[in-house]
Amino acid sequence: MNDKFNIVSHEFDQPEIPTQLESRQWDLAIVGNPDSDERSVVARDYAVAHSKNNLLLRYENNTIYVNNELVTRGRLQTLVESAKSVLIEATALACPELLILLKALTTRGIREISFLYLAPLEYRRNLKGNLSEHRDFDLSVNCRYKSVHGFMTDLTDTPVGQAIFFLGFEKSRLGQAFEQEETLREWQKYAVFGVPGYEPGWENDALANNVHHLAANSFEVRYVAAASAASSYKLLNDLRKADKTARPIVICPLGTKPHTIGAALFLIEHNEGQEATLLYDHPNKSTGRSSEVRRWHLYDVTW
Amino acid sequence: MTDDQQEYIEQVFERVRNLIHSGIWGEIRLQRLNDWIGCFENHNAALLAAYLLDNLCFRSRDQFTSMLDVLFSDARVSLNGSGLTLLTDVLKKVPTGKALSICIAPVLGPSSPPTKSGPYILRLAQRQFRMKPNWMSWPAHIHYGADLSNVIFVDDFCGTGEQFCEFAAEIQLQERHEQFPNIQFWYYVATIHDKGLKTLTEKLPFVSIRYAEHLTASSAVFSDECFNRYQIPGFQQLVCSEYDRILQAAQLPTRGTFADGFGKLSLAYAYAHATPNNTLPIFWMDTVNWTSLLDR
Amino acid sequence: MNNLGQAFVRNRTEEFGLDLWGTYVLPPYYEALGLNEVGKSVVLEGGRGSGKTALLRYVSYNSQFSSNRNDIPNSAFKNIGLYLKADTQYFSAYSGGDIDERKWQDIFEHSLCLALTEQVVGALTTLNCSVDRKAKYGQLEKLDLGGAVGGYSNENIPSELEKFEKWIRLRRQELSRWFRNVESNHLPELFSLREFLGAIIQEVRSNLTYMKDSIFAVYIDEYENLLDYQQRFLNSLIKGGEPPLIFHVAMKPNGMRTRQTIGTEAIQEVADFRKLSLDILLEPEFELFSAELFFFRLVRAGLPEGLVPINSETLQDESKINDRLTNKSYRGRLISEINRILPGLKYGEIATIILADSVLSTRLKKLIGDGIRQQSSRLAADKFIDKEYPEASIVCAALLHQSTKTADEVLSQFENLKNGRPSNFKDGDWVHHFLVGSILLVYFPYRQRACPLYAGFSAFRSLSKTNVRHFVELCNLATTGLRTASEFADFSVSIDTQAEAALRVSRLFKNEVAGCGDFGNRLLAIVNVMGKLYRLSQGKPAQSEPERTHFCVINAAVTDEAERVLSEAVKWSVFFIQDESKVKGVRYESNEYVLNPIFAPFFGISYNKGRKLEMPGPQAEAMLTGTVQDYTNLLKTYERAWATSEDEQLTLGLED
Repeated sequence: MNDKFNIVSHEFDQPEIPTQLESRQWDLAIVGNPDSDERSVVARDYAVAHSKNNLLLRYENNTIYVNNELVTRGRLQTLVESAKSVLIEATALACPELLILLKALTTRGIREISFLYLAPLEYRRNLKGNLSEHRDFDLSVNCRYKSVHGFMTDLTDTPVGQAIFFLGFEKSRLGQAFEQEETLREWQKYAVFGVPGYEPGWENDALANNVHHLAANSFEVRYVAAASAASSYKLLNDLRKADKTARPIVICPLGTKPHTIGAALFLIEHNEGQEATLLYDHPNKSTGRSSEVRRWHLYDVTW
Repeated sequence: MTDDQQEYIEQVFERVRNLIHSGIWGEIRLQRLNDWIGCFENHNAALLAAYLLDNLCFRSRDQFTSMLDVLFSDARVSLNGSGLTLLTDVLKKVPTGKALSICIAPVLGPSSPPTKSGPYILRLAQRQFRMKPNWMSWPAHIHYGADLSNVIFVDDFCGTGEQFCEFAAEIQLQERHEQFPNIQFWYYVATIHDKGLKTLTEKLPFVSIRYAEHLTASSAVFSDECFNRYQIPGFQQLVCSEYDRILQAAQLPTRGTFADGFGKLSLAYAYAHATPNNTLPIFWMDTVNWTSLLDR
Repeated sequence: MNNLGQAFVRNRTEEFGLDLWGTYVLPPYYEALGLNEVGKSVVLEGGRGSGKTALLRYVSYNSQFSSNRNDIPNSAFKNIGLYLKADTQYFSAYSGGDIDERKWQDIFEHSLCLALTEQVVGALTTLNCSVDRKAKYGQLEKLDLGGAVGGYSNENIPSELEKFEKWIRLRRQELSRWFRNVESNHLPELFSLREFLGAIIQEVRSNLTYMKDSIFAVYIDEYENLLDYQQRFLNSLIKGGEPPLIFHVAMKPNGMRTRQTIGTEAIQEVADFRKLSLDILLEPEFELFSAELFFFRLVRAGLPEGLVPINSETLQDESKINDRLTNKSYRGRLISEINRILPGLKYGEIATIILADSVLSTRLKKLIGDGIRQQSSRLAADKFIDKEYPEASIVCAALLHQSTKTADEVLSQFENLKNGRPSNFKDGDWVHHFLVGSILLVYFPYRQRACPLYAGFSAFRSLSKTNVRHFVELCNLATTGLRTASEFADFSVSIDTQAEAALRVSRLFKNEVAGCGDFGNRLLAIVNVMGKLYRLSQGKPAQSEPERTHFCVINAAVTDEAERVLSEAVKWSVFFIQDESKVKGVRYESNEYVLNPIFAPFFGISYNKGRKLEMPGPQAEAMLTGTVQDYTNLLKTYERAWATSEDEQLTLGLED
């Protein structure tokens, strides 16, 4: 049986709006709050300019806000249902927002969905002052793993299955997952790294910051190009199909946004009977960190 | 050595052991790593070893699979005016008709030794994507004719571009292009360096290049750009001076073709199946006084 | 299992499943807990690795009624344990949408109700898991569960146990489905916990003779991770609980954010619940317990029991706990055997090693030489080193840097010692005070060379404090060389291997701090800063404030935000509180916060509680809530201060 979603990826290795995208139009664009992040502002502006209508979406404290008003899922579906083609501005939107949105769109039968993602120019952090502790003086508040309505399960009551972790450069997120949800240690675990990375060498941060967990906890390692939504989606489906006993699946998207897009599509596809659920820690967007555009990615999804 | 330096060294060594243990650098044997580190320690250059390991990009077989995925999965070709997905529309199907419309060949000139990577890479790709072998050919046996519209050359690494240019000359690619201007020539290479990209764009502009990873000047492991990440005063000088000392002691080349890696690219980049000679010889060269970490 | 080296690999309870029968070593404080006598709620407090979860799983029906258990005594029916681990990420989703908190509370209550009802059913099923058991206990056909709770639902509820169990499962799935579309206008039918569960329990007690006097004790674990209203709700259950249904909670220290209930009254310790701190209870007998656990694990990994001084059955027998504690020869054998396998070195022996090692003795000589020169003396360093008096020789390195002593004086005392005359080295406690610090001082620059101070069963115990997990991991890394039973009689782990294991474990657990709770990143930074400070102190040749591993805040109390961070640090066992805060004259002094000794090997500092670092309020504030720059400044400040004055009561920032 074929996978539900078909993903066609377009990549433009330049910071300016690609000429190929200048003529694209959608009925509806869904954007997130760009804060002061330059990439998100550029992305938001493009999305708004290339669509007939647009909505601002936010998921906070288990509640959905559209244009800053509280809405239920039913209401969200009503808001999107008249569109034939939708552009999702995925630079500013986070995983829970993507999921909720996709759920509404697929429930309403909207079959042309595009994701826009602008990759950042500068990202690799510098080691300052200390060779050995560059990560250890990160004083940001950790985030707790909290379920998202519709993609949740009580892990203490779920039989052992497959847990797939997409990993990024942060040091503490994977450890936090195991600290908070100890049962997952018993699951069959996969670690997915973005190789090839956005730039050669960037993947070393993710590897360096997560490898001690792998060694201690029997992970199987997989690689998916950092910029590929299609490959991450395919990987998840392959892993699922390979499991002949159809055990539950938990996805933990801590990696790149394209990986998260692929993961979101997979979760939508396999969420009916709660076979696939989400484990996510809702990190704070780094406010004030403005980053320039490196590349444009557009993912056209049909089903 | 300061506490910080000692801890950095221990951290990097521990990390690399974990990378090997977890299979991420699975093809490097722990004993070999220990021996290589031992060479540095004998010359009080553990900090240099840590720096080199900290910046080494090692592409295991599994990682390389992902790179091939990037190369081939979304690749498109034009055939008879229509755009096709290379894999699903062409290579996974058995060709119809006598003459091939698309041909895929390894970068291996007739006078090249049989140990070059090209055929191996092609074999990997063929198995990974279940390409029908009918589409494949040795470069010298490509049948150029009216039916042929796309020729794809496959290789793993392009550093300065010299090798591909030599290969192109050997198979008279320029002449073929002039003879058959409608054939689209492709170079699918897993990793390409900026230098090679520029060379090929200049010298063989009719060849379209597709790659999964793109190395630049800042990939040079002793470049200012590489050191700039470490905003630690004195660190660059310290590491570079240890490097100079080691080169002498280990009798590694300080002059000539391979000093700083071929083409002076100074890379710390390797695959499980091969190490480009643009990578610093300190990684892959054996001398009387030096044990290598990686195999060429 | 032939590979005994794997005996300590699993160090988390999660890896052992719910049924611990046959695998659980009763902790020495088990009887003192009085869990079998429970009539009042208990709040079990324990940090990570304290054995809290294992204890609760042991008292739950999964273990007590285990199919592996041959004879279930009547006492096991007295208190039937229902263990519920709150899955934090799941329960945190019980909020938001267009539903107000009051309604969420009802939904939470309903979810607990279903989960606990399922547990009661599980207890009955687990008990009656075989034909023999059914013959002995059974009577399940007498139950009319549907009839007991029929009034709470509009549906027809099945009476028979198995069908009832299916019905409960369907209700749980219904709730799960509702979460896919959280909306207030189509909530499933909600049940009230105490009424529903109470009715089920009543039905069970009335019909099953073997459970007619049973009390059902609910243990809810990971209480600290629940949302505020959820904690308040559980507090109400604690307050209102009475036989046959009592509620207990388990949490990390400082896990109870509120004492409020959903009503007007708050819960109070003693009146409404007993608080039991497992770390405090374990401490007095940790030596015995850790040794027992060590051998128990080896037996479980395949070592024949005849080769070890423990008896597996005894360790699991509730009636034998007192024996274990009071039998002196048993204890003696145990300790001596584990000391054979994990030998440590006496301080004097370490001193001897230093003198015999070329690198270390060179360092010692240099330290002594520096001290002599600082004193402007012309004595030769060799005069202060004597292989027959290794401890005194080592301590000289520190003494010669102390401004209160002259080189001549130290030499004269050394001569006294050598000639059997009264000497400050012995009678003045110079060796006693300064030896450990001096040993660490000698090893100080050689970070990759693990100091033998960290080797030995006794050291391992000190490093782990009461953390079973840490102890097991130390044993794990130390005993990888052990393979088969035939090697066992002669097996002993070398000092170096043990010390290296300690260093690796120290680094491992330090790295884990980043994942600890909301402030994990901050806590790791704090560990690094305090560790570095203590290391700075350790590196001072004078050693006048030896073995600094704890601090207190003086003069000014810290802000609420800083208090919060401190509370988290205690919760996650980064710091331990040693002494209460006090006011000395007009000077305020906070609690004493000891850095977890498991970090000691990494920083090359002592694991004893030595001298105190007095931190002025503003500096403590910077450490707890400051920025990266504040940390750098803090370390620089101390570095400067300690470089200039050899002997100090830290006067930085203090008014005269």
